[in-house]
Amino acid sequence: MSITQVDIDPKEEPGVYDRPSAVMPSVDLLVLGSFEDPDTTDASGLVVELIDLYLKEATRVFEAMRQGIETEDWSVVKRAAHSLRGSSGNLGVLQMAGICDRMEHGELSHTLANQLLQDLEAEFVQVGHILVAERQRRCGANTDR
Amino acid sequence: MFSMTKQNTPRILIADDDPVIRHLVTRLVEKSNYEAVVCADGREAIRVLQSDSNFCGAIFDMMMPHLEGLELIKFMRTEKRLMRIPVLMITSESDLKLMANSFSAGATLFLPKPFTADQFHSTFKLLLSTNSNKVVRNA
Repeated sequence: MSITQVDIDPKEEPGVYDRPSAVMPSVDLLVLGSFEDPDTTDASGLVVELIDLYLKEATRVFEAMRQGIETEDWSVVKRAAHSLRGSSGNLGVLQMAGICDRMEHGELSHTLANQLLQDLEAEFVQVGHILVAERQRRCGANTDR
Repeated sequence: MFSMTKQNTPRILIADDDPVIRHLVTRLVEKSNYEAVVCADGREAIRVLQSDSNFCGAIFDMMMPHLEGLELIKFMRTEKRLMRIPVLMITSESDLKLMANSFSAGATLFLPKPFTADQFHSTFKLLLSTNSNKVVRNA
């Protein structure tokens, strides 16, 4: 299992909000891997499907957040954060789930919401690398079978 | 977006606006040899329920656009032909009041997110055991 940590300096930009914990992994691949189906020959099929869907959906959610922030429609932003928090948490994408939780439950201002979205997008770059690598590993494993 | 009906396969109604969770739940339900009838939100689910009651269970997300899971349950509990269908609510909220409201509205079970495949299968099995018109399945 490979767990990657985010290197965030807790002293960076103090006072905006509590930045994600450096201890929490970006992706807990054990959680994602728990959806493998050991009874089928295509053992990693569902996990690969979930990775593809998650990467696509997160991009769509960022756009919804950006539009909500632009118009300061916090109900749109919070609904988008709620949706992404649920799927992130369930797939073991822990840091993003944490940032979404702050966005969903915090009192938002334009500055804070923008900051949280920036953090989400930065974290998503990291998450994307991990999930794409995991996808390739699994697809490679299937090809070898 | 619902699937085609397969003859004699017991059916589960699924409504979730999150494509990732919706796909995950659908695949887990299908893995248990049930047919998933899939809706992208509560409004779509209510349209299905208005003309179709042939479900041995339903799985709803609590928070959905247009019509929330709670409203769907309230509708089902006022319709005689839908009353018997057990409902599993899935939510990422840990609010006890929300949970209590779901049960008083008529939810059968509650599955908090995040959940594992094992947790889903146990809860799903429990859900179907509460159905008075149980479908007996081969192991």
